[in-house]
Order: sequence, then structure tokens, then C-alpha cells
Amino acid sequence: MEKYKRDGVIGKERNSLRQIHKYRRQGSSGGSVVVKRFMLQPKLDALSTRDEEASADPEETGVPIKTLRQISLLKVMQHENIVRLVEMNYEDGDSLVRLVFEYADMDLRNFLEEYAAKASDQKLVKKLLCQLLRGVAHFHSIGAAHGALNPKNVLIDIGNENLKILNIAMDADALYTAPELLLGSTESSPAADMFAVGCIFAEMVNRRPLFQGKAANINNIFNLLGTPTEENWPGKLSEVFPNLEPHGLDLISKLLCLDPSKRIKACAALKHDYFKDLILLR
Amino acid sequence: LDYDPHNPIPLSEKQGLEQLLAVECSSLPPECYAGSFLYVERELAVTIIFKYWKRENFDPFIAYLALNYFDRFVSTKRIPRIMSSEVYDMELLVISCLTLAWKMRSRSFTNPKFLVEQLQPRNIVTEDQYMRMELCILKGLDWNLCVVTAFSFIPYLERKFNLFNRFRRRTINEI
Repeated sequence: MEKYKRDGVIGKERNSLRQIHKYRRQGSSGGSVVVKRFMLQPKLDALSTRDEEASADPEETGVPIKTLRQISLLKVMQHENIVRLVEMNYEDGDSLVRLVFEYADMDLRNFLEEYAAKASDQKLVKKLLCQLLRGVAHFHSIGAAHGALNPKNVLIDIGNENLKILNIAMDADALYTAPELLLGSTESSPAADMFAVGCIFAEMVNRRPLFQGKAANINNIFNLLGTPTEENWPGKLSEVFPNLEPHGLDLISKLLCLDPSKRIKACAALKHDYFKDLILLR
Repeated sequence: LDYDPHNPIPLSEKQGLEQLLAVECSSLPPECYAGSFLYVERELAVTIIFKYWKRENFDPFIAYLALNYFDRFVSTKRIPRIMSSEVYDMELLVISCLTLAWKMRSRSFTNPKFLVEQLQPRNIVTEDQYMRMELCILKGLDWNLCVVTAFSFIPYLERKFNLFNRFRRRTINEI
């Protein structure tokens, strides 16, 4: 790890107080990386910091199934809109595994703040949203869900306007959490990811978070989208996005659909008319 | 998500054969392995795996996968010294390959009983030793567990064949 120098905090790990740091590569190569730690210790030591994400299944011995599958999948996961695993290193007799991921120029939040003029280009918004959906669709196509999408783990390379999703099991941000999760459902799901995509889309269009305020914002969601007892058709969206074209408005309403079973899927969203006039040069 | 031999790695729309071929390289033991002096060890591994296969009656692909991990590990790395004797190390190595394959393939895996029953009479493995062996293997294989094998190409070939004629999966398996 001597090659890297700490360079700011990105977020907190899920179910843990540990912070995730961004690191800058030392020397000529430059560039930033994100590091995720896995502690793998036998359970004999009750106080050990085992990988907290792993199910606390008492029947499980050795390396937890979840960790095993997660890391081996990361090794072969290759998608232009998902952050790549660049290296792994080991410490403590191999029981501490560090995964080093590439980082892009900045996260979406910074991009919207620092490049306000560029970010207000609706064509660019469309291009970025399309890439976001492609990455999310890839996760969903392999039966996984991201679970914590928000503008801090959506990364942007300014030069080529590329977008990449960082997926290292961070704490979810309540402002991007789907209503069914705020109401007590605990499983992260593809549908919940799509709600977060809707919030991020909205934020790109208006360059400010769709829902603001502290902690759980269930009231805000219902104020905007109507309480679930009424018809679930969102009524006020056109007021919130005066500059958005009708197709965009339609897509956003489908992404923010309150009923997770009726919410649009990633692959369907990519075929939405909103993207009809988008020509991606790749 | 269970490991699927026919579809081991997530492919995006455009990738396909190329990525399968790229990953296949990291899924094979080096070429010299076939002619090496490790055939005694390999024979032992096969014996051990089949012994447990008979007892536990698991999916045959788990055995195939375990042997893939074993081949790749012993052909490039030394067998770690964890237990009191080399024979035990070897047995633990094979069993750990087997449990790793099992965990990749099926969620129903619970190994404490498995481990205890298999090894108890002669040799007791602590959880720590077992964990260390698994980690050694994982490091040795660089966590490349989603291997691309001959099975992975079947769906691809199937699609190709379908262009000409309506082949059935069984026909291809027979080929």
C-alpha cells in the first residue's frame, strides 16, 4: 500500500463505521483509486472484525460464500460503465484482502457542482444517464443489485464524458432510497436501484438533489409522488422539471414509480423514447 | 448467484467469445502440467474427490470445478505447510478445493459437519487451519474462481449450430 496516499473520504462501509478512502497513486502514473478491505478470519475469535457483510450464518466455516462469490465475480466483471478492479493485495498472512479499484476524475456530485455550465447541457445529461443505465442493467443481468446508488459513487471522467459506477457496498444514502425500503423492506433490489437512478436523473436535470432534507424523507417522496393510497401516478413532476422534454418526463415518472413491481426495468429504460435521438460514439 | 458452467462470467451485449477466450487462459493450468511429475498427487486428489462425491452425492460439476482449482494450484504453487504432515496438508488442500467449488456452485453448502466427519478419525482440522488453506488457494488462484471451461462454449456453439439446423442440447453434449 506504500504506492498510495490517502486522498479524501468517499463514504462509509455498509453496516460498519469504517470509512472508505480515496487514494492517490504515488509517482508518475498518477490517478486515483478506491480501496475496499475484506477481513477474513475464522470465527473462533469472537471479537475479530470479520467481513461484516457476510451473512452471520453460524453454519458457515471458512471464507464466507458471499465474499467468495463477490470477489471472484469482480475479477471477471468487465463493463465500460462499471469501475474496474485493478489489483488485490494481501496482509496479515493473507487474511486481510485489499481490493484496489480505479477511480475516475470525480464523482457526479462534484461534477454537477464544479462544471455547472457543462453539466447543464441536456444532451450530456442524456448521454450520462444512458451510461448509468447500461452499468445498472449489467448488474441486474447477472442477478445482482447495487443497493446504494447515489451521486457519490457514480464517477465521471471529464475528458471523454465517461460514466462509471462504483460498487463497493457503501452505506446507502437515504435521499436516494426507494420508498419501499424506507417503509421497512430490507432487501436491496433491482427495482430500488431504478428508483435511485430516477433520483440521480432528476438531480442531473435540475442540478440539485430531488429530495432534500435529513434522514428518511418519506414525506418528501409522498408530497411529490402522491401517497400510495391515491393513484400512483405522479402529478407534480412537470412542475419540478420545467426544462425537461416530455419523453424525459415520462421516463422519470416511470423510474420514480412508487410500486416497485411496476417500476421500469433497466433494460426497458434503455429502450425508452427519451434515448431515441442519442447517438453514442464508442 | 450460483456458478453456472454454461455461463460462468457476466458478458455484456457486445462481448462474447472474445471475453470467454480471454478468461479461459486464466482458467487453465500451464501447458507443462500434463507432463509433470505431479500425476501421483493428482491421482490422489481424484481419489479423494470421488470418495466424497460418493458419500455426499453432489453435483458432478462441483468435482470438475474442484479439480480445476487443484490443477491450477499445484501446477503453480507449493503445497502450503499447515498441518502436522504433508499427507494431511495434501488432503486438506483437496478438501478445500472441493469446499470452494461447492460454495461457488451451490448455496446449500454447510461444511462444519462435512469437515468434521471427513477428517475426524485420523486428523483434526481446526477452523483456523481450514481458513488458512482456503485463503492460500484463493491467493494462489488470484480469486479466479469463475472459470471458463469447455462447458462454457456450449451455448455459443449451440447458437451457431442453430443457424444451420435445429440442433438439440443433447446432440451437442454427445458431440
